[in-house]
Amino acid sequence: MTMGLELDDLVCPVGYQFTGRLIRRADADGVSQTSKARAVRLVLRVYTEGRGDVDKRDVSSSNFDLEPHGGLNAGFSLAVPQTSPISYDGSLMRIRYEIEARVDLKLARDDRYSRQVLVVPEGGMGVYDRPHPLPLRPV
Amino acid sequence: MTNAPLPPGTVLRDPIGSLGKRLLGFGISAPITVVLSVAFFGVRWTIVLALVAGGLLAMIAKDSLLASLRWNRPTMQLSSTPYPLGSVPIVVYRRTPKRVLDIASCTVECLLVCEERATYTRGTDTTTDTRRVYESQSSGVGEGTAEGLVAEIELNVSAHMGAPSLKLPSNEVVWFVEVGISGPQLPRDTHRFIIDVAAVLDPTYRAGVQDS
Amino acid sequence: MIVDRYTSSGLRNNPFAATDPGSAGNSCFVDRGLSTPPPRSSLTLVQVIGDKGAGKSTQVHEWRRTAPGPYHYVAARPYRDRWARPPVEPLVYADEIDRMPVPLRQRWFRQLAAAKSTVVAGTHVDLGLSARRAGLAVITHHIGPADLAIIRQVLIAKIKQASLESRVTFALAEFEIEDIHRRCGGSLRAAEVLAHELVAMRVHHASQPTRFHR
Repeated sequence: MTMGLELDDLVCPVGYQFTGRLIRRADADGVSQTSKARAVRLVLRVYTEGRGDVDKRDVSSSNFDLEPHGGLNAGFSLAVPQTSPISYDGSLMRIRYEIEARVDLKLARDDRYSRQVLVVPEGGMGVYDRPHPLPLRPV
Repeated sequence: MTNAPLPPGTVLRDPIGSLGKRLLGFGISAPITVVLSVAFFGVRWTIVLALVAGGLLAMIAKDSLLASLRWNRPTMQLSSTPYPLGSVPIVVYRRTPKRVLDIASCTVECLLVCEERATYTRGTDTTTDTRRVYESQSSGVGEGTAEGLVAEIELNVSAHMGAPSLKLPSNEVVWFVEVGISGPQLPRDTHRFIIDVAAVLDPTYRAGVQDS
Repeated sequence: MIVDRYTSSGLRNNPFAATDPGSAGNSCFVDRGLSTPPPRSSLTLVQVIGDKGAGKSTQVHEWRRTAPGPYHYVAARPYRDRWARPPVEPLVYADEIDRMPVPLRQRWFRQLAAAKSTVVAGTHVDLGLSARRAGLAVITHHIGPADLAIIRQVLIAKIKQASLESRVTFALAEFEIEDIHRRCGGSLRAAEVLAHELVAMRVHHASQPTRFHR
């Protein structure tokens, strides 16, 4: 696999940011041959599932231009705005988050890699390990 | 009737819905009902049915209708910042009479609701399913003051059911409070007030906080 | 670290999340025993009559999946969209054709008859007389309220589709299926909404305690 998405934490409260490292292995020498990969776009996306139509929205994003050899090793930070919804398992709907890395390939369909993440209420770190709502019984 | 300034950090909210809409609804449905009744039962029986229905409605609604005419629509004093998940805020219900009245103590019943609304569209056919995922009843004592009828009500915003207020094109989570009052010379009506719940966890639920 | 409630219960997601009946992802069709429509160019209207939520659209889309043809949907709003010209081809599919303005529908039936087309359509009312007058043969299917067997089949098929192969399969108890059938009034759509809620409630209650402090 040429792309790696390493997250410092899979859980983030609203108003804070997901941080981590984006790594892409070079797939050309950059001299005699240049990589087809031109850039990587990293997106934090919220989407719904359930009895309603899917609502999907990119909450924040970052772009990374690639070297001619197609390699990348960069830290990233994706903010979760204060007004964002939280991850939620409801009766008629679920609200889910993912971080997607989309590699812009020249003359080819873009490669995509994604990971599920969890957005919790402010003050929820160390309390949540699943989408809201909190189960009834504490430890 | 004096209008005291609001405490800092609070807002006054009006109820949603209006008498005008109800009257409009009645104004549209009544002629249709009359036409259908005439078609099925004839003019004579339609008049009889209308008189009987009107009399029954008047008997049932007389006190409430008269009382409604004596009172303005209520307001609710809320925090200007949304309420955290798991919080137990106190809101203030106010209702002023249109003229000076001797207001006896009464009970103000309140139902806090969290409702999910999911809208599904096929072509241009739209269906919205709604489900109440949380309900909490509470009550307060309404007392007569220089500002009219005032009641403080404690709400229980759940951390275990429902979600923060949310509005997306096809998916919504709405919190609202349904308030009704009961007592002599008081209108038997219910009003609904939207409240905002934030994606913030109340301090009592946060990691590291111990019961004393 | 993320505990997905549905994954913990052996599901990829809630099996009853809404999908477009015509989408490729909707492969939980339950055969209601209706005979396959005649081939193209057979000078026939095949009408599927049923109430909202009965499964007309799903049936029409399933036939279309096996024998493709143009599809015409008559939208409720805006009203002017009901006058959109429907296709005339050897095999045509359509839905909600009772909404079509009468002059347009009658002209369409005459055009289909002249082209000796086969048209497969969902409708709330019987349009057989109008189609016969235009020269089409008519095959009528009535889809009534979904019975317990149909609802059981649909619910089980959707759960199976959403199940994770490596985990214990999530299942609804028979009394839960019977309760859904009793409350849904014969509507498949209403049954799926009730099932969605039930699954959501079950996976929520099945969660292990989280680490919150009180």
